[in-house]
Amino acid sequence: MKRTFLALLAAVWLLLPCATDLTADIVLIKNVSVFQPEGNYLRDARIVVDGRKIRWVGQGQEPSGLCFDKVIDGGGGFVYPGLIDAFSSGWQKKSVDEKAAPKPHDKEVRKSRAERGITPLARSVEHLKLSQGEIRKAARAGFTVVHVVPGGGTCSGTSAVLSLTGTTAADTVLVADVFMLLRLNRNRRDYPTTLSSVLYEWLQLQEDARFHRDMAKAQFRDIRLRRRYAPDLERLDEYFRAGRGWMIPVDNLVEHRLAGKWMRKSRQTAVLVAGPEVWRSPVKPGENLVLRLDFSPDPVSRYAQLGEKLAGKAKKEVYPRELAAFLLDHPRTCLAPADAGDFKSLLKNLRRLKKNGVSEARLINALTRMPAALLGVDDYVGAVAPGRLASFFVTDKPFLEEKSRILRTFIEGREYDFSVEDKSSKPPAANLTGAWKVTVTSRMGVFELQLTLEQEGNRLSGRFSSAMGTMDIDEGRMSGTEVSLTASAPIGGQDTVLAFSAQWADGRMKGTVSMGTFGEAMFTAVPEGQDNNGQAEEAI
Amino acid sequence: MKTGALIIGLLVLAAGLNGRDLVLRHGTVYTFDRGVLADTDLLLRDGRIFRIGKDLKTASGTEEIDLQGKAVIPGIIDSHTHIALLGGINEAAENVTPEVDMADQVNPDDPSIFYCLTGGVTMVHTMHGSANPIGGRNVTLKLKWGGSAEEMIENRATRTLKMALGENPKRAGGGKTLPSTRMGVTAVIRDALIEARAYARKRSVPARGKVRGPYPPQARNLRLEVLQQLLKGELVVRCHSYRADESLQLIRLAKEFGFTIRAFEHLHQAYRIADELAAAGIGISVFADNWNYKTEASEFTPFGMELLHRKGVVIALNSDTSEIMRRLYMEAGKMRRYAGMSDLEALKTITLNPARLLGVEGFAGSIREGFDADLAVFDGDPLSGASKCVLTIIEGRIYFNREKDSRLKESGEVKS
Repeated sequence: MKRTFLALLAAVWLLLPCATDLTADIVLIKNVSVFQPEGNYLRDARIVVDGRKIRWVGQGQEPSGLCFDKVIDGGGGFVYPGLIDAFSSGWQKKSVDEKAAPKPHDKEVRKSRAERGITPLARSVEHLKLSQGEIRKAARAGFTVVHVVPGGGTCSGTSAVLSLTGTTAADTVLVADVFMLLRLNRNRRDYPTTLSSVLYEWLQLQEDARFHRDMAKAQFRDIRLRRRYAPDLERLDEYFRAGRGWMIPVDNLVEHRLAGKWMRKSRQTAVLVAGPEVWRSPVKPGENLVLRLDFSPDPVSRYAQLGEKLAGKAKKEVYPRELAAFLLDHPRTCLAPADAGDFKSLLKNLRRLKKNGVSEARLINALTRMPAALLGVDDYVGAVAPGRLASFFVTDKPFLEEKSRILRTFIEGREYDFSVEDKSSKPPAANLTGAWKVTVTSRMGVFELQLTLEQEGNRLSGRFSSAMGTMDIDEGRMSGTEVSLTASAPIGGQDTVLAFSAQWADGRMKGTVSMGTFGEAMFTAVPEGQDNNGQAEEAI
Repeated sequence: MKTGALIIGLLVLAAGLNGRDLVLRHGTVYTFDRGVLADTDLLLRDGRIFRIGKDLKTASGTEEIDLQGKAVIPGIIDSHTHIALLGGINEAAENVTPEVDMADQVNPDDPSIFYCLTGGVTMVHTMHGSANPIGGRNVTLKLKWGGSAEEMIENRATRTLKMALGENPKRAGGGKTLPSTRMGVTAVIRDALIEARAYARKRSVPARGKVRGPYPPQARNLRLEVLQQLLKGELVVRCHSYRADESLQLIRLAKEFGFTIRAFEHLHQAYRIADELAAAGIGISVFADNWNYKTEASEFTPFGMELLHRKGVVIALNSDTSEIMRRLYMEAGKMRRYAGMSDLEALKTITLNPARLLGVEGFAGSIREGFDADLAVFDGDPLSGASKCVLTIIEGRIYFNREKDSRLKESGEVKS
């Protein structure tokens, strides 16, 4: 009885912060410069946020008669519309494993479409997996909207656009079934094992869908002639006939050409999602394209093969100049991070493009206004304007300048404050610079990590290392005796944010670590060379 | 008089303006219709061989290359290879996959293209693999290194379909699936062709009433439509085969269904069926002297080439993606010994003969006025292992220049 009560109490306590966030507050943000798509800034502006939406943006006095629940002084910061990740394979549970299906013995038996990786009925919106840690990480990088796409076979289903507000699908989905994903995925043993077969598979699907429709029109009395129930073909036919969106990720020039061939032969248009080699592809200026920003060479290019042998070595970054020229020539090209959740390298690459002559406005529009239009959500996001969702972020300097920092991110009016932490800091009680031995005690057992820390004022940086590898500390600070560290690590195949919070006392740290969906664990850290009780280890 | 001067002036102007003219001076030119011509000039214009002759007059400023003591041969054609493809060359998951088209997968970035150029190869027939009885369609490329796939694909060549007999298609299913015998391979091909015929009949059912198209509606089958092209003669077969018996089996099948076999690949036992091959007009694309690498590759003798040559079978030599691609001219040289061929006849096995098998003999494979300017220049006897290819030209443009490349390498501009 007592235990149930405690559990209930804990549940209420956990729900409490959510509940407060959901009340429709009216917030005034003043003393900020608001980014305009033309490239200029609305200086000394004010923004009124009413609940989830922006009510008013402008210079001078805001409309009278408003009672603000909160007034935020932007401190001369810069406001940008929330960034949109236009192509992300993350944020989803792993889809059903088609490989688990039984294989027919005879090669000639055509397997069912689903077993061959043709799953047009699969929807990303039904496979969502969201966590506050991930959302916070995205917000930290200024991302408020993601376009999630299904993985899997050659026709892998429909994507969805999420506004990162909560952890349930109902909270986050802006639009479902946006693009049908066609992927040039080939198998090792099952059809299709060549790229060309994928093209045939797609063209044949169009014929099958057409036949299915013809049969529906014919309406035979003879039951043997009636068409078979095939909802997947019906869904495909919808996309083929209505010209609804197709999206094709292409990894190299060969795939790019193949996707173009499909568009010509099937008379469909598709949005291609290309990598850095795209500057060598014949793309028309009017073509919609998503460029996954990455300067590493594509593995098949002769630059990679004939230059220095890059295959086994660390990725060497190439062609920012060519990509910059490409962006200037192709005004309809949107940008996206190279990998789901890889926001850090994106910012670095954006700055590199800026150095090569692409304007800040072009780059920011390519991550906000343009993908919003491409995904059909420009009524909601993509600009800081009245009536749009209050999804934007505030930086201390213009975003693409070196060492700019994101101070706050708003996602549909919910505020993530990254500046408060620094302001309310107390002077650190000690200098933690050095090597530490960390012992984590969790349900999964006890494991040890090495921690190297460097302290500069309140800020902590460094890395964890263990036999499994190393992980860098994303954020670390010490305020008084309070220590907090966050790092992200792939645990069991999914990227998990590890948040350590501890008290420092007597030269040791003791506290908890939250591991996303894996729950919480206790940890202690002692300087390297001491045992867990604070005694110097005896030499054996 | 005035008009004449004007015309001459215009001509000179036109010649001067034409930046693509290139003259190769004083070379030893290997032609098949006029023999070996010593100290002869070649004028290349607009990608073609414009003039062959001694002391050709050209407008001043035309680019000239002195080939004193060097030999000019037609660009070498590799009749069977798998280079410059990306994304799998074997649709091994099913037995009949003519829909697969290697033209979809041309990778213009493959370094093998450059390796080929260093050996004087200007054109390749790059093929689907041999894992299934009816494989995919192959593609003929001109090795315009640095160009796009579209620029490389030679659309004037005959489209070819790969078939395969013997061990490879048998083995692909691990002995558990059809075909696991040589009989099975033929049965699979026959079944597919019967299906294609039936499909053609079904699709041509006349429309009835208001319904447009065949009635009841027929699903289009893109795979069988490619086989229909084969039956109509729009495609020809290049068949992987080692043994005489199974090759004869396919020749009988070709007669039954009326499709064309253009050549057998590898066919080690060709000398046993030289008469049949000659009668059916089927060529062979083979290694010069490479055998016994698997069971069915035995019972070969390079001296069999002499018989085949005498019977009039078109012999083409190929690399099959091995390093032979850089030294096909040496392979051709071996034909002088094994097949007793003259220099020109031996040279044909890597130029005119593969051109015939690919249906490009009307514009490539020999040095003639009006033909594509696809040339390879050697610093000595083009069939000798002591010679090197120094210059490779495709459609009048230099794609490989050994001297320039060595210079770049020595100056440190390009790392090797």
